[in-house]
Amino acid sequence: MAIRSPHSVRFIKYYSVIMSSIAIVMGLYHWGIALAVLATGLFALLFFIRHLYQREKAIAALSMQLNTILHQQKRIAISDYEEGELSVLKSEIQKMVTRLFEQADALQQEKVYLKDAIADISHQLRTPLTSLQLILPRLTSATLTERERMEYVSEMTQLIQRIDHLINILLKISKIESGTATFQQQPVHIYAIVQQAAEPLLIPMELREQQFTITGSTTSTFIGDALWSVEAITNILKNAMEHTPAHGNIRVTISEQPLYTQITIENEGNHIAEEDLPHLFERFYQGRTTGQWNVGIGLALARMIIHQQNGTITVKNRSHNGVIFTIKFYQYTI
Amino acid sequence: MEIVKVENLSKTYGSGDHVVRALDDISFTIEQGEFVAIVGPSGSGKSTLMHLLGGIDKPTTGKIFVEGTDVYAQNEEQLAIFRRRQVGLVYQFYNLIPVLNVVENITLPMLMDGQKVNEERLEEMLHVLNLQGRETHLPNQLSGGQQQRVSIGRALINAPSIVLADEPTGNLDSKNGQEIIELLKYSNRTYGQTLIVITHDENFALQADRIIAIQDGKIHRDEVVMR
Repeated sequence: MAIRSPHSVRFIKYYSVIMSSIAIVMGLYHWGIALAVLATGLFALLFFIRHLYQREKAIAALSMQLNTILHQQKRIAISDYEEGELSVLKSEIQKMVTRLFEQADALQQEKVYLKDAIADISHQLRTPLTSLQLILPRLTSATLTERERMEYVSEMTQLIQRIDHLINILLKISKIESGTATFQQQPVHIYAIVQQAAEPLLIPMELREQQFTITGSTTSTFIGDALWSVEAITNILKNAMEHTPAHGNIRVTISEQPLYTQITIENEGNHIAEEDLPHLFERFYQGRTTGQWNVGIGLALARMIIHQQNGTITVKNRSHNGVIFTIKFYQYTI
Repeated sequence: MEIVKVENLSKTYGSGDHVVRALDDISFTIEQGEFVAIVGPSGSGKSTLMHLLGGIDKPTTGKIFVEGTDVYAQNEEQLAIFRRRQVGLVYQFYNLIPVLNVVENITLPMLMDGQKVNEERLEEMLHVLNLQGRETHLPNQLSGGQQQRVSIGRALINAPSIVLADEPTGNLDSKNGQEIIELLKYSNRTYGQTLIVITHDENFALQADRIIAIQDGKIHRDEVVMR
């Protein structure tokens, strides 16, 4: 034990030295941790500031681009196709800008359209007016027989009726075009409106000994305006009637599809010339087979009314004879 | 207003003696909101054209601009983002992700982009696509027509600059095919969605605003369909 005691003393000495060194190192270690944490925090802060700065710069660049588009009317690409919210925003702005330019384009086209429309309308009104001007002086002739006079009067009445009809339809068209026509958004029973549309034509059809039938769904509806739709369908039926020979059939079929409700109107007249088909719904279009009194406005109005209600109308020649009009009213709007 | 501009586009496959000219110096533009049908016999280069328009392949020479962006001047990563934001693709065989359900497949381009899904728009979309009540179905629980409707939803959800459809009705019967055609036309009319469709179906092509016929890698005919 006596020999060992100095060893143990030495051991205690060493131990205390080691322990105190460890304590010092441990103290430093804690400082080290603290320092590391501080450095990391500082680094993160710098990184964040840099990120903020960069984002700020990107936003500034974006507003510069928007300024160019807005005030210089220039179309430039904004999208940069990168990841992240800012790039998504740019992409969405790009889409909006495209839409705005598209609308500006449409407005320009509208102007041209309006100019053409006015020219067309004046022409159409002037034609019967010119005829009236030619007939009128003849009425003053002293040598006129009673029969001739009656003939002139009846001719003039027809011309005036034609002007009246034309103005009526033009007023309706202009109402729709200017957006002042109100279209109801209510369920419309198709079967009922087809019946209503056919009503003023039933007597003329009977006089021509034509058969008129409605088949298909009696419960189908679409969301739209009943009165305007009647007007559209009357115009198409009138066209069908005028082109169907005596004893011919005029058939309306109503069917419901998942995406739309369909009305087809078939007549048994002559085929429409292939080159006329694409223009049939154009205002004042004069086809090869157009009758003298037909100014080509009823179908134009019909198409407008149908388009207003998110529908479409197309026309095709049937395989053997006659023509089929197909109207589709879509069930949903977005 | 033009949304797509193709300038002197050529694409050749292979090299040396085995060079195949899939597209030979093609140029044209497509207007915003236009519905274009691309027709042509097999091997005429129409699918190559579609892949180039979609930013999937790289042209040998020539350029494509979509909304003013030079598509192939971008790096791979930008190109990938360009595809999911500006291009909607509809394939003949739907190409849905089998482990994702209907809603997940439709919203995939938005989710990949880190965008929040506009729930209301999604609801409307499902309604139009006639997929209500099938939100959680997996592709293999759907019919062909339904799967194609899902893929159309996926193509439209981001309101891309262009929707490209490669024979979208090729694998469907005529009734389902017509439904798909109506849907595509509907998106064209309602959203003013620019639509480029490759088709063999003459009836479908004739419903477009414009038909581009391709033969031997060149534009053979380019006509506006009047209606």
